[in-house]
Amino acid sequence: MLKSNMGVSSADRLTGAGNGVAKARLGTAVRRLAATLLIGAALAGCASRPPADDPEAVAAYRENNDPIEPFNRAVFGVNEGLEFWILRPLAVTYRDLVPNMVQRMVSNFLDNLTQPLYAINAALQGNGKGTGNALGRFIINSTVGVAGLFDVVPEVPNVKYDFGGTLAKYGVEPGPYIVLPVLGPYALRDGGGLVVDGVMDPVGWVFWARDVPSTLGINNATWAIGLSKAFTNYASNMATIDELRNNSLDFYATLRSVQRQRRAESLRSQGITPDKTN
Amino acid sequence: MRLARRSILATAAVLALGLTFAQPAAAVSPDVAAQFIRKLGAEAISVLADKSKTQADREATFQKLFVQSFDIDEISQFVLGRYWRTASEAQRAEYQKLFQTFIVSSYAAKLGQYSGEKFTVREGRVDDGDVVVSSQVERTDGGPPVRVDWRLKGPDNAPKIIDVVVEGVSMRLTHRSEFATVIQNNGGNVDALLNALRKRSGQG
Repeated sequence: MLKSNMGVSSADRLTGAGNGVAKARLGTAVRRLAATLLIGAALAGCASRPPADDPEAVAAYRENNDPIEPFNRAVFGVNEGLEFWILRPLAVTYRDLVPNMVQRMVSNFLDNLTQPLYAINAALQGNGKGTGNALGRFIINSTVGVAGLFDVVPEVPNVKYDFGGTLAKYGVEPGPYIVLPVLGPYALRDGGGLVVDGVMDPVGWVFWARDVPSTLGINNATWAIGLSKAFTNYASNMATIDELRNNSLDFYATLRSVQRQRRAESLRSQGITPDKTN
Repeated sequence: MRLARRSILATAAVLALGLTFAQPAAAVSPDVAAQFIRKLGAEAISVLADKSKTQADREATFQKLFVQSFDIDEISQFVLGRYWRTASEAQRAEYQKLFQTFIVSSYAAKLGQYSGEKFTVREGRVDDGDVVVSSQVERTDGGPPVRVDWRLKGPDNAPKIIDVVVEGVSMRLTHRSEFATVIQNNGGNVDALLNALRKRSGQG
């Protein structure tokens, strides 16, 4: 958003050069791939709609809100594989070798760096108290809390205001359920919100101003923070996720339901009434 | 004289019966519910911590406690949702048996892993005809406590748990969505669900 105004295009940053020819070839290839994927998804990936004369089936179909279920299941399968072979060994090592106190300090540090973004979203949502809390946390924990390593104000509510929530506040519907590669399951609105948060992140602006490069429009510092957070969250929740998986008859369906309920909780914590489909 | 006494007795009997049937099934009161969860928590903890018994003994006692405190029939019907109505008697009977095994192996085992983290019961409140008791469990890794809500239905002298909600995720809603998907993806056939549950119980 901010960066595109400065006359530097993402494609240039991605290819690492202002070379127009390379950019054009890359653009064509990406467009072709995207078209193939979309057509493939449209043909093979759509769930079959239930007959209109079965109102309860139709209601259940709407409640799932998963019109591209076969496609989602395919991506889900890929994600499960990535998780098992790559993410899990790293996360187990982190969880078991790094002392608990250090793990907490890392979480605190990463969470603290996200508070400015939470403050912005709270402000966009018209939530003055939330904005104040997030800013206050950031300032106090960055100073007294030693660069955010310690949370010295645990009694101050720590709410994660995100752009998906901001969109929800202004009446945007959640849209269909979609499983993103690597990133995992989101309602379409919230997945889009994730991208906006990446671009909006003030910490990213600070590093951008210091000439740290960006990838796909999001500053590398923001990528580093976001991916580290995802990793540490996964490491601490791995046992719970494993339980869920082991006790599921259909883990894809379980995860879809859990994600929807957790998202409703998250919206409630931001002071937004959860979507009707929840 | 005999007639009068009989009619007095008859009237009294009718009145008594009428009063019994006329009372709606009362929801448990919030305080009683909170106390029930507190007591249940203390009992469960003492069962699990009883070093004088073998692991197998402790698990068996714990499972009995679990089955007594949860209204597993009610939960199973809720979880099957709209497919309960269309299921045959035989299917319903087998489903409820399989469901109990499934629930006990999933949750009793998990609760049995509890290892002394502090469990605090906060309070009960009325919600949608039931009572929800909020509690929290301290985490071992020092993070913020885990919020656990217990949904109960009455009466006061025999409350039962009909749902457990951990950090906003409801056990019965999650399973209902999952079971419905299994049935839907197999052409609306409840037997597909029964097969999956049978296979699951075979694995233990």
